Amino acid sequence: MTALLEQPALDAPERSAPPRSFAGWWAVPPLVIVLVAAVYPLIRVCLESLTAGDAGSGWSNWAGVLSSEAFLDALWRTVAIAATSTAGCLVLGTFLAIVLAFVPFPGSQLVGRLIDTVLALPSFLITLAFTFLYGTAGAVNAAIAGLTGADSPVLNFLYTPAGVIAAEVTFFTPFVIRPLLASFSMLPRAQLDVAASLGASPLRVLRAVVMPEAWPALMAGGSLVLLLSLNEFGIVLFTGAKGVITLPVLIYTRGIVTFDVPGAAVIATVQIALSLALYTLYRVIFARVITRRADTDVVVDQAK
Amino acid sequence: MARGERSDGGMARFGLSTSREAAVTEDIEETIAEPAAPAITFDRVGVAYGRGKKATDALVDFNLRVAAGETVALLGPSGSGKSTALNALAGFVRPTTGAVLLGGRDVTDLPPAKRGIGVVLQSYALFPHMRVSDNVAFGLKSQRVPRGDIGSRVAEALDMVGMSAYAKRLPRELSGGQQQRIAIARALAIQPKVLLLDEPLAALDAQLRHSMLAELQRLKEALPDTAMLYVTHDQSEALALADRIVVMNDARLMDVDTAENLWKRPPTSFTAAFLGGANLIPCTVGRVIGTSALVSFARKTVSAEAPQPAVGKIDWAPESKALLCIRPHALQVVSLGHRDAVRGTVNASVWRGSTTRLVVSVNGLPDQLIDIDVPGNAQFEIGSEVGVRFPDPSGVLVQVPA
Amino acid sequence: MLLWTKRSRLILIGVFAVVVLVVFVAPLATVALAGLAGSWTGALPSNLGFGHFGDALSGENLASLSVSLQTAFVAGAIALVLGTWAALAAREAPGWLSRIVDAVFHLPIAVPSVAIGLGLLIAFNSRPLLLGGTRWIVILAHAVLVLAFSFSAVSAALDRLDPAYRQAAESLGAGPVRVLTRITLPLLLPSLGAAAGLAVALSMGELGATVMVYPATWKTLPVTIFALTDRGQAFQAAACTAILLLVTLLALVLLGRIRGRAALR
Repeated sequence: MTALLEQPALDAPERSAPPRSFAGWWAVPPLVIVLVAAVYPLIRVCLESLTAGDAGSGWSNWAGVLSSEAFLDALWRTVAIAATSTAGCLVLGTFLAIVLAFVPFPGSQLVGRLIDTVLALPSFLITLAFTFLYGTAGAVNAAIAGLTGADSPVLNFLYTPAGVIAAEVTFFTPFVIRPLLASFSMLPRAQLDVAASLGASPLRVLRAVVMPEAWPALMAGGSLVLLLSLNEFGIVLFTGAKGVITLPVLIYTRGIVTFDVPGAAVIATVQIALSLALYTLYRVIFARVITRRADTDVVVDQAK
Repeated sequence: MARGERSDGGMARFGLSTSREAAVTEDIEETIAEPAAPAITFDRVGVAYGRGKKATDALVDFNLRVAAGETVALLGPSGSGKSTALNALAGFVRPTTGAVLLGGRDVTDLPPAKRGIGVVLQSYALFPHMRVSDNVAFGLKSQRVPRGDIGSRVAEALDMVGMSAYAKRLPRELSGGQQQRIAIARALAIQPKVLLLDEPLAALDAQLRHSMLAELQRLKEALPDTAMLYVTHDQSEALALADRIVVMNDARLMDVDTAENLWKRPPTSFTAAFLGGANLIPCTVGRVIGTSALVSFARKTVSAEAPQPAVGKIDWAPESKALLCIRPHALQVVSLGHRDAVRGTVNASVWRGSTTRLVVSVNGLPDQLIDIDVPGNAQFEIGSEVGVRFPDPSGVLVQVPA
Repeated sequence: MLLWTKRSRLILIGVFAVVVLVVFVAPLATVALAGLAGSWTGALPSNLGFGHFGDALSGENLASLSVSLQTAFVAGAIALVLGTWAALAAREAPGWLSRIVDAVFHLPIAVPSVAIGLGLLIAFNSRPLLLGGTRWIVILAHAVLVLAFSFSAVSAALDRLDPAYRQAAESLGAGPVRVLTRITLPLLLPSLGAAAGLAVALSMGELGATVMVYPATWKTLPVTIFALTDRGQAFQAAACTAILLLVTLLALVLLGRIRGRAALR
């Protein structure tokens, strides 16, 4: 009949931890290389910012730079542009992602691919294109002038922060679309159908069914875009130093154009600190997105 | 469960049935050598995931011995721990308690590569970037079989599963059934002493499953020395292939015995219901003579078999409660006036092809619905009254779960 | 799914099309057109010809293109090897170590590229590691920046890899080296190709760190393009940019085609 005639006198003892696998230590060589190639230079930047420049001791270096108008102006400019670009990306990205995911049309795959390719392109390309399109001597202005016969150009935003923001929105929107599309693909279509059958209008379906699922992806995408636009260099550089100076461009002009390396180092240190803080925030938010998704399907941890 | 004395000297702890146990004892006396170690031994194996409060037990206190050449099926619903037991044996999962032995050797700390077992996974896991012959040869190359021998062994393995013509194909060009055969060939090529199969037929459609089952039976005959551990949730596969069946539920081993014993005399109500489906009618034991008993329920008295296990003794005391296990096809539906019949009302009728399953509520058993299988397409109206005739003996007694 | 009447769907798709055209297609098309144009004073370019493209493929510009390509492939290769190595090892490593690896490898995305450039300038401009003034500092900058992307791409691909393959291989007797070389890497090949493509593309377009460290003898194409715009030669710059785009897309497609026999669907 049945196997066990008696419970074993003692429960089987707990096994000791598995013998340590040393395969994982192979991770150390590449780690060391990256520490030397990336972390060490960044540390040197922070140290350099403290070297005595022409102005005397290291701290006065800091004081000098931090209180200079150029720096404060650039800091404010950078944050304002980044925040506005992020907002723009979120709005535009949400709209595009919703259409791509929920309003199928022939060629939507192709459009999705196109938007994806933008990520791999250099950012200054956008600004260059804008010069031809929206510059004072550009195509759009000429077209409008041709239509309305106006004398002075209508669109004159290229060398203002608005131009930078427009370019950044163009370039960074795909970074919002990607995670949104990913989270939309996890949404079962049946939910939308049922909501509609219960009488909800498309806007209500969006608000009540789609957006709650999309919030984590939006936040993750938004914080990534915020980080990237804070650090964006190519677009601002090509816009020219006339009206828009952000922190990265200031680092460049200080360091290369005026050879004030310690001064540049101060600005760089500030920006590194700011970026790292934001990046940590992004990882924390993103981690919550990942773990939430992982809770829904049971993940069994296999002992190695 | 109350168990009496053991008369076997402790061998039964590992689930050997009476006849085999007797044979082994004979062998021992004959050869006066050490008994051959079983091909597979699970010794109080437990697997738990997570820690502390969030710990879940995937397998608890699993004990089993499988002899060389024997085929044992691990049968149970999902979550019963059967795949975990297989993974612990293969080395894909490390047991938190207990030990796993192969041929008497403790392999619990050995990586899978060094255990010398063959595994056929549910998803087959054929390497998609290699041709069929390279897939089958992979194990031989890994174990450094001399180059000259590889070709013939691959051919032999493919021949055994009837796929010799497909040696140059890529896995994605094969159908599900063909992929499964290649997966088996790949596992057999290394001539393992132990073969593990994890729900190999689950991904196939019903018809293919039938033919593959026949092939597996044939394979089993062709490999008399290989112990096989076969995980499935389908009882017909277990009945067809296994020498013994291990019924598992809720991460625990419930029962172990040959298929016939488990069917005719289910030791627990879970096995009675899981293997074959059964009506379990609460009854009161009356007189007991040997292995026969008179039991009564719903003002009716019928005779039933009162089984005794191979080891130990169950006390079917008069006036004690028990469950009467009656298979649905054993009951008969007759006209109301029949002298032996109990009155019942048809609640549901489902035609299943060769039989019709009726769900009947019987007078005197208010809380229970009885399943009856009637041959052919018997058309009964819902609510119609029928007579239910119990055979003689009606069924077998099962102990009430603790 | 969302919109049920044909009319509302058409309206929405119409708006979508306009947005996509204005926001994404227009800039790309403009650059290409500007490269072809002799002058562009009106609404449309005029004097179309391949003059600028011809210039873009000769002399200094061609040299810059070659520099960019060499840098991209060398830096991309370094980044891919290091990233793959780290991703594979991090899987086997104890939890704390793989978290450190993850954090460190993602660091270069978190900080502005100019900061990395400045750092490399300060750190490697003197002995013992004097790289400043040579091509290697540029290659190093690109490798560091691109590393994060290849690491995370390979990690993601490893996550998607069915563990059953490894289990089957191990049960057949394969040791860790054999599993790595015969099973894991071949199955990763399509993703490695895609990661390589992305690495090359990002390197081709890199400007922030390059502009801080480049020696006069090793000017990449984006640096040249910037110099052109600074001088006011916008059309020439556009032509060079169009060439840059073309070559980048070509590299993406070619490297993305490396699928091997592991491609399942």
